[in-house]
Amino acid sequence: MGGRRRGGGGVAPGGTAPVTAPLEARDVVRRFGRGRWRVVAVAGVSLTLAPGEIVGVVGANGAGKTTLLRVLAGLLDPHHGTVRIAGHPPATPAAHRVLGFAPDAPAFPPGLTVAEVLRTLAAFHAGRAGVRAAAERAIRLAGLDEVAGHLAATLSAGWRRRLALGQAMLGARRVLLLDETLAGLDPVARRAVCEQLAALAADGAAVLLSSHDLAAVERLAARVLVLRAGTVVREARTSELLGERVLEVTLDRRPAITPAGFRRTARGLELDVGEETVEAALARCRALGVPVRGSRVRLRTLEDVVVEALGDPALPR
Amino acid sequence: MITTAHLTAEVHLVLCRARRTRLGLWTLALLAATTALAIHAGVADAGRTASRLGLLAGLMGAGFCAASDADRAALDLARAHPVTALALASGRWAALALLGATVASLHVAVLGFTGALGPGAAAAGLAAGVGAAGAAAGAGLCAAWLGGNALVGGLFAYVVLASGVPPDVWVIIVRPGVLRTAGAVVLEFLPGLWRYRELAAGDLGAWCHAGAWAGGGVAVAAWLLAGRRR
Repeated sequence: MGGRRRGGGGVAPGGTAPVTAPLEARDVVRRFGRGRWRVVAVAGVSLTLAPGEIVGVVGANGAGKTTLLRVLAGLLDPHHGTVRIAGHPPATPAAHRVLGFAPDAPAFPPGLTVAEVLRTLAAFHAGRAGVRAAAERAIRLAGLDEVAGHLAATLSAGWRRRLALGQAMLGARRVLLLDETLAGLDPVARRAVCEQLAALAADGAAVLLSSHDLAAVERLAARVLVLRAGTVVREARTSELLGERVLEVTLDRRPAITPAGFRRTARGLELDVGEETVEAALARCRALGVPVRGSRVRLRTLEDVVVEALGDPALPR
Repeated sequence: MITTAHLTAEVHLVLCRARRTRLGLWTLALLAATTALAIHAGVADAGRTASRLGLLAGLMGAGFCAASDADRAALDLARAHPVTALALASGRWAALALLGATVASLHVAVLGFTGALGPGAAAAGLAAGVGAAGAAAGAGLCAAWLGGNALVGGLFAYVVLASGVPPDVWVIIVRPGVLRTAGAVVLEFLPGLWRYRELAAGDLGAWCHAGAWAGGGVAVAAWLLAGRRR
């Protein structure tokens, strides 16, 4: 879970000055409630974000993604563990100067337009002279031009998320925590936001993206964390997770018992081929008595990885 | 701490509410009714009416600009920016106090133009209005972030209906018992018309009380806001 492969407290290339990771969390625990109502939402998560890295956080509903992001953003105190944003504690103005947070269900002050909301929040980043420019930059980056004069409280869910993204990009933010920012966006907006995030990352911003949109995470994230019951049950580079080949076989009839190494699908079974040839894998099917009608090979998707990680009974629930 | 840009943004928020919600209408109605009554009755004690206006306008501002569920939820977004809870509370307090002080000042200005007040009485009335508005903004903000509109509404009703009665009068008209003691404590503790009408006369106790509510209200509101992390 450490994620120390890139950037975490290392040494600057060609020098001796230590590099501070944009975001570093160690063994973070956050609970809610007491006694029999006690719920451990985050149970010992550690992670490090490197500059320019986009990391995806995926998991089932209630896995602890939102709580984790709120702890990292300094909106909730952890009960255990430490969080540092560019070396600063997360609930401090110094941390929030570099950290932007777009919440899952953003609430905006009623009675203000989109531009006014951004100008109000931009006042925390810029002097009076720079407020308007900062707000206009956020409007442009988040693609909010056509709703800039609309009341924020009356926006649709998709526009509200884009406004949440816009306010997260105010100022000189180098770390973005995005909670379900891609949910509810139309395909054009979704693509635009994805391209914007990729551009920000290319410019050196570290992005932690929590999402159920696995296709987008697959496309954007260099690394993926799979959360289950507040614990990271799988963490790997996206390229490592997706490199494997999967053989899907369509069956004449479903076997009563799923053979070892196979997974059930809607129309039959599938298995990871790995280094094996397709012919050898089909021969294995025939040897196990699986009545193969047709087959195709595809690359493993993030959805396969997540479903597998979340469905594994050996991992914590 | 609080910056000019932040203060400007908070004042802008209150102005937007005044324009786009009933806050503007109610504030104008309150100002017009109080001023008209004062002129009609020939009131020369602007300290009394200005402190009442400052108190009520400050509380109405708190109700309309800080107490709704949406307003309180929106604080989460502000907390994700480089600002402390104390600065957030101070900024909102200043904007609410400014609203109350502006209403009280307009009242005194109109009375002055009609010739009902001399310059000394006008200055005293202005000071009373500003002091009462500061205290009301502190108390209102505290109530808004603690209990939302219900608590602010309760405080507003208390100020309108009961806070004009001094505690020494209360203990005479109510029989000895828990109610008498509790009532006297409440009248001493909460911002009230009976005390703040003395602001115009420069009463030290009244000014200390108003100052304590202004500063204490901001401190408690900031503490409530910071406590959301726990």
